[in-house]
Amino acid sequence: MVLVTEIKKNLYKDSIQLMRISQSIKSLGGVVEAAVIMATETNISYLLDLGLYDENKIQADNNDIIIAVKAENRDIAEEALRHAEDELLGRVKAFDSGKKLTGGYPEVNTFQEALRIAPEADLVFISVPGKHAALVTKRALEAGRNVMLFSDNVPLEDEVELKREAQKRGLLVMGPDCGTAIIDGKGYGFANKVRKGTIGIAGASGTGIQELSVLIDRFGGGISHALGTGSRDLRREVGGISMLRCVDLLEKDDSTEVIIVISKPPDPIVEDLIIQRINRCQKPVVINILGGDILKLQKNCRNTAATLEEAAYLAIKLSGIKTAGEEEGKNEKIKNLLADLKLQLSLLGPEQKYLRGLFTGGTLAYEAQLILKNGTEDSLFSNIPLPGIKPVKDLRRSEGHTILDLGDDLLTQGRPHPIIDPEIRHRFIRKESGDPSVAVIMLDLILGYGSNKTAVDDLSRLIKSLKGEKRKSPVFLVHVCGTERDAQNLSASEKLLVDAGAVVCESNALMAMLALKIINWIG
Amino acid sequence: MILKNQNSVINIGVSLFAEEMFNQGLKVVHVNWKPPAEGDSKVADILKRLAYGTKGGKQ
Repeated sequence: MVLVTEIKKNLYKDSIQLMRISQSIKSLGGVVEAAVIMATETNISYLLDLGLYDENKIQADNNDIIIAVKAENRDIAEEALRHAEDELLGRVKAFDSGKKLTGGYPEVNTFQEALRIAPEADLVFISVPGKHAALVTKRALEAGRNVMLFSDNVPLEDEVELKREAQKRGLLVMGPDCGTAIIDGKGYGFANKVRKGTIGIAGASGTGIQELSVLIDRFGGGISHALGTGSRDLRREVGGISMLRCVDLLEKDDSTEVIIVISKPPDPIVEDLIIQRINRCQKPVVINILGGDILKLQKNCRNTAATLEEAAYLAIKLSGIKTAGEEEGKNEKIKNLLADLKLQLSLLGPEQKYLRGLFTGGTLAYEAQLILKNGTEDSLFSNIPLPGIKPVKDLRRSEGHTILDLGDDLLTQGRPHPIIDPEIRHRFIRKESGDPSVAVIMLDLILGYGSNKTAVDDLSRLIKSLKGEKRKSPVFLVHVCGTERDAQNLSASEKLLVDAGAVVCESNALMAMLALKIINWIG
Repeated sequence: MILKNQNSVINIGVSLFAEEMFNQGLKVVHVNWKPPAEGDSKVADILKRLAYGTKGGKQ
């Protein structure tokens, strides 16, 4: 077995391109393991885990790219290295897990060239590294285009300037850190294929929008448009500029009859601004502030919801659609799910007490904490802790009940988001499953555009093997955030997971409520 | 309508998103974006300050 390593300095490639090149050389005959990655701390430990770390060769800093190949012999290893180099330098194109790279759309080197080919384009989708994103966005605004800014790590003062600029020009900036939008039935970023309908969403949260849209689809309704504002839009400095614009747009839009506004708790002044705007709206608005002061909201707004699921139900009702399985059905559903679990729960040992939530959707991790807070008191930890919840001390070793957002910056450093590359989560799942104190593992599985196409198969296989390994394996709860129209198909995905031994829950809120019931029952 | 044209988009950055948008029938133009000064952050900061007229922002 031979390990070869090469460092490429000052070469820019985004983490998804690197992931594809890694996959491409891993599939070469005689290659045992390979990685083509940015030399971040997270990635170095990844190399260590894979046995690809050569401390003599690796003197790289964050901006460098490491190519590491382990192969049956030196010739194969060096051939793979050349191949990776060719792909990095653009001499050949990488394959995307066996699928031919889609040609068909023009590729250019500058924004100006793009404008010449598509002068009619009214939206620019930007996913460049955060420190450069503001400049790119400014150019788009100056050219009179709306922007969906997927990038995060954009300085706050840049965000404020960009949004003020957009406001002056009558344009919309969705973002920074805007992962999801649906406009006229087309999905942008991470988004699900949902029924077209009359419910519009304005949200300061990507996976929150995704969850809302799939629940609305499941309950028989449809989405006119779903617009993101970026996660910081409702901070005092930004003042809700994009949220207000989104509400304006949805109010004016002919296909929208009901609007849902979702966010985490805003700055109080901005919250009042939003409430006033909502109350002036010509169309009914459902307001869902996750973790907000529900009593205050109920006093000031006509239609309020505490969870994403409640918001979906309420919007459907307001749009005049009759749906089976109303709010009251919730307790019935949990009772039935618990009954299904009786056998699995009876097999747990007395030392198995804890819950580990491993999320790829930040808002879903957040909502889960909200629901679990009352009942787990002092023993709940998270890497994105709500007020009152303890921060995780060491990401490599969970304690008590732990909810992790695996899409958080610290964990994704130089790697694709876990919605795109589930590898990081699989490692966490194996680790938590091997922890003898763990009783329940809770997972969200996000389908749709931008998501990994083999994620369902991979996860099912993993759960099946872990459940087969030992009698006292933890209970696996999974919520699939998807629809029948998504490429990975909701019901087919759920069936695979059930066959693998997981318990499937139709909403994130339901999954968290079930998890709470289980740990109370065990404890 | 939210946009003046809802069938055409310019993508700058990760090509995965261009593919996903293209596969839905949108007209897509993809910009193969590279950092200014190809990753040399000191030079990039200077360029940004010149073009953008800010302190350069925190990063």
